[in-house]
Amino acid sequence: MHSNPRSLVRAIAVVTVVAALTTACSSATTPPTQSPAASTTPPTPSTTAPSPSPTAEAATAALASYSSYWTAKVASFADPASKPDPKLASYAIDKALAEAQSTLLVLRRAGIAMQGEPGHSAQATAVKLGDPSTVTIEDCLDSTKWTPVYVATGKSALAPGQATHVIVDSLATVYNGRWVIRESITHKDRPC
Amino acid sequence: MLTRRGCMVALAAAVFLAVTAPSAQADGGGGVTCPPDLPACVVVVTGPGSPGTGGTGPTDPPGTRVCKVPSTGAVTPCYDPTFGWWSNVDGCYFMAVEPPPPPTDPAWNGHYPNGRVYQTTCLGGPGVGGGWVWLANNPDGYGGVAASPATLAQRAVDLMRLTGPDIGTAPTAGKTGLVGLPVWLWTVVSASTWGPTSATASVPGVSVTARAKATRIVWDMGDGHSVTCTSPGTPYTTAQGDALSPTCGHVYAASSAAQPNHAYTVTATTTWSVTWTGGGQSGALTVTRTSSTQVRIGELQVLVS
Repeated sequence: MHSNPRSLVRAIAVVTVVAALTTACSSATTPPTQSPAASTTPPTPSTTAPSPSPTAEAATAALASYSSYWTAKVASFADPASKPDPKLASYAIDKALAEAQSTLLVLRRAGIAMQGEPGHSAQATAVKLGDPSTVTIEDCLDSTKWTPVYVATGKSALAPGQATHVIVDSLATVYNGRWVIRESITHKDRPC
Repeated sequence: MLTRRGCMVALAAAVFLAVTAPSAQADGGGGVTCPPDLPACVVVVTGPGSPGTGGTGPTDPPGTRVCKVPSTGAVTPCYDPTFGWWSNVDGCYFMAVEPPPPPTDPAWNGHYPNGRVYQTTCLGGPGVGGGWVWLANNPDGYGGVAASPATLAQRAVDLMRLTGPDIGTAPTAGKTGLVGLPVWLWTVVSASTWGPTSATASVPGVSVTARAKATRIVWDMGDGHSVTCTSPGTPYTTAQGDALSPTCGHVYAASSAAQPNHAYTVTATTTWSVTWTGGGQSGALTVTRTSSTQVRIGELQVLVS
């Protein structure tokens, strides 16, 4: 009985992923090389290095910080019983840091660790330059190889019947002279 | 951008609410919990006594503060070098943000440079959803100092969410009144606009209850006059015609044509009288809350032959 709405969601999700992939900027380890969708500067087909617009530079820097934020988060969730990676607080502030830290505490208390690494297809969807400058980042998080296990037994702690690819919406801003992630919402109910 | 940001904040709050309750239940004896920053929910099988968790910290001498998650009662360390100091009132760890956010940051809530902005990490409690939070004073337990009854009273006042008047005027905002005709002023009466109301803030062993009621509203009419009313005022109905309000009103002597937006800005400030008791102490506080509206007043043109 869910088939109609579900297939519609799937169709939208496929379109979203295709759109995301065609303009994809970043993975967890690869810094972005492409101008973001919001950039006003078209790609320059000349052989000399193009000087990126301030908008593109902001998007690139924000995506690099997003990548660092995830690296620190993945390292922290891999061993929740220990102190979190100090870089987590360097690349996340406010709500994004609060949610990463509260998640860490839930994992610590439950004796669960996140094994492996997630896949990303992050892109900057909006750039605002000013006071404060912000970059909106949309990511399709692939958690097929990033899964919860009980530390004591090594067995999976994953609750059944959940999407492996979900949308993550984030907001980057500048704090203390660097791009940081201020909000990041993992939409468990929005597959991609 | 603003809309999107607002949406994200709302979503963050919704996600927080959605995940806090199940994780709270899971703490007690297992179940599915959905931490905000994981792409999927997990099955928790360990209880609050699981190894390496809970308990007062190894550095806490016996007989000192006990730190507990308000929603579950689970014991948590009172201090963590990364997360900061646990507040039993809020159910969060607090760590002052260094360097402080810029003066224009919304986290200051307009209070810069007073007080401090704290990074909070919350495990379910009243009022705080996690993230940057401004406070005038250090929260309960910060620096290892348990909240005094007076500090708890202040938090109880915060929990009451007192507001300025929910302003009603006749003529209503958007309509134009006339010079020399009565303007009626009132607030819609509710627990948060006129009271009485009460709230309790507690830490293990100490509980402080604050009770608040409004005592007066000072209406700054925007024309250099102010009106002090010791009642919420009387709502106007058309049956009253051109009568004066029996409780709270004003008559303008000049039109508002020369004012910005051709309207008088009416600022209404409610004074709240708060009494509190708890922890073997009691006290009284006065707090004010302000709201505003606009009133247009026109000149009646009379032709005399």
